[in-house]
Amino acid sequence: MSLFTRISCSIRHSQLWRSVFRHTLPCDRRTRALAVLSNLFLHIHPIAVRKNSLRPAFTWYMGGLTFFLFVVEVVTGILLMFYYRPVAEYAYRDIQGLRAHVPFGLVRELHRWGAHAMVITVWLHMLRVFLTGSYKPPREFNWMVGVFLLVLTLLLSFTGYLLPWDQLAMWAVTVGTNMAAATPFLGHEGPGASLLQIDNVPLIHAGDDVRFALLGGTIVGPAALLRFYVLHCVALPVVMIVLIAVHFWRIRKDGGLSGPR
Amino acid sequence: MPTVRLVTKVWIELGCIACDACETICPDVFDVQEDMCLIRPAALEAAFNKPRTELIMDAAKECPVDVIRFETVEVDTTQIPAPAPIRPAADSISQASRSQVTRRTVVSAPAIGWLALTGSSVVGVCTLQRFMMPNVLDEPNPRVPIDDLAKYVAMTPGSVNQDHGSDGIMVVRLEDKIAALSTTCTHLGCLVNWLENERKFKCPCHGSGFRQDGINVEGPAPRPLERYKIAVEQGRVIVDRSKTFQQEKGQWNDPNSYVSVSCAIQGRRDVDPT
Repeated sequence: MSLFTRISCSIRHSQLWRSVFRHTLPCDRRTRALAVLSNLFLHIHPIAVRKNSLRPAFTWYMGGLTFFLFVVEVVTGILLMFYYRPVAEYAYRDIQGLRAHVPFGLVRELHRWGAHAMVITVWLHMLRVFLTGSYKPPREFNWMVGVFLLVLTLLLSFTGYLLPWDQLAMWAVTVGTNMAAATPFLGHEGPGASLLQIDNVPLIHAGDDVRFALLGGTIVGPAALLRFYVLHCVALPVVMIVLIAVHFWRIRKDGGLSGPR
Repeated sequence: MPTVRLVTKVWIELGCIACDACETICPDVFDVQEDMCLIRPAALEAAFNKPRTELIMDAAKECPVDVIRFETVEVDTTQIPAPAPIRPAADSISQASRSQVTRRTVVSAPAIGWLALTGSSVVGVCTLQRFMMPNVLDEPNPRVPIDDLAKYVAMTPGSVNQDHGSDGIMVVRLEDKIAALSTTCTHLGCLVNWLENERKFKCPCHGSGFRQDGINVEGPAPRPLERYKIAVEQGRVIVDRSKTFQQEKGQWNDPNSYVSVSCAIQGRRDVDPT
């Protein structure tokens, strides 16, 4: 027995090695199932996957691409947080600095392109699910979770839009939040808001409606910038990650990817 | 004759990975050990009844490696055998501990818990709603002192003064009035520009157009530009942006929404009779 074989043998029989790799190489049905079941990242896969549902023409891989783009957004977003300060005096300068002072400031463009691409892939994913009828029972709950994920994706896009703090950001968010002011009952310009008043004193006005809560004020100012930053970098991604976990878990519980039987 | 399908025999083939799925579903029958799964000896001899049949079928369906096998038989529904106790008494909940859980505790304990959770959730949502709405804002003062009245009296009727455009105020000289127009577009809140050659206010966002007096003439804007409260204090014009006057509500006739030019000239003569 050569020295190499003996060393590799003693390593593979050590307690440390066997505590990490708890089974032999997946070579038969049993060890393949074990490999999937004993791994956190693989166990989201269903027990069995139909060969048909692996065809790219069937799923377009859009769900997986969306998740990949979400991971890209998380990684590039964390990198951007090292340079970006959500303060009115610095925000625009920091974004310009990413282009001028930082090697590979291209990360900012990657974040932006990835965001655009993610919105597109989410829509295509939904289109595919609709066309293949994969929203039907027992998957209707997962469709609902997916709708919330779509809304979250759009909200992440919207909140990220303000952060460059340039003219486009400013007026796009002015327009967007003025639309929020037209929410029924919750926005001061919305239908029903005029009904909510006591002795001609309105309960819903520009100082306490949903637009005010979004902006932290009545104008798109420094308070709105900080609020959108916190929503964009912490609050919305946390909800997103929880819902993604539920989404994947439901795929497994509903019998894996749908497909022609 | 109505019949049901009952499982008579259950066994496990080679390849079990001891994942615990079957015992979670049907602990009466399956006993998962360290690296293998056994059928409980008592279960091997039992005549299986309907509820256990479904649990065994569920366990077989959930088995990730499909090693649970069973045989079934059609039985007349009138002849279903009574359920026989399978698990040894030591494994199940003892009679003594079961008797301590009364109907009253089953109802009241969760009720108190749910009430507490609901109450604290309501309080939490209300608190959050208040927390997100600050009482003091770091925003520009709505009250802006602009230039002397004489400067605006000297404007030719139909002209627009843009000196305080950065404050969102355009002073317009009408036939006999001076008014402070808000430059905030009534469509979705962008700031309009005054185009002297075309003699209209134009919004860069969606193309709404307004006449010099603020009336909307084109684009998606649903109503005229608003006018701010305007007043004269010691010859100085003061604009208060916290109070607006809307034409469609007939508020442009409100004396606070304009300064009368003839009155201003008259007033000046009263003070200085030259």
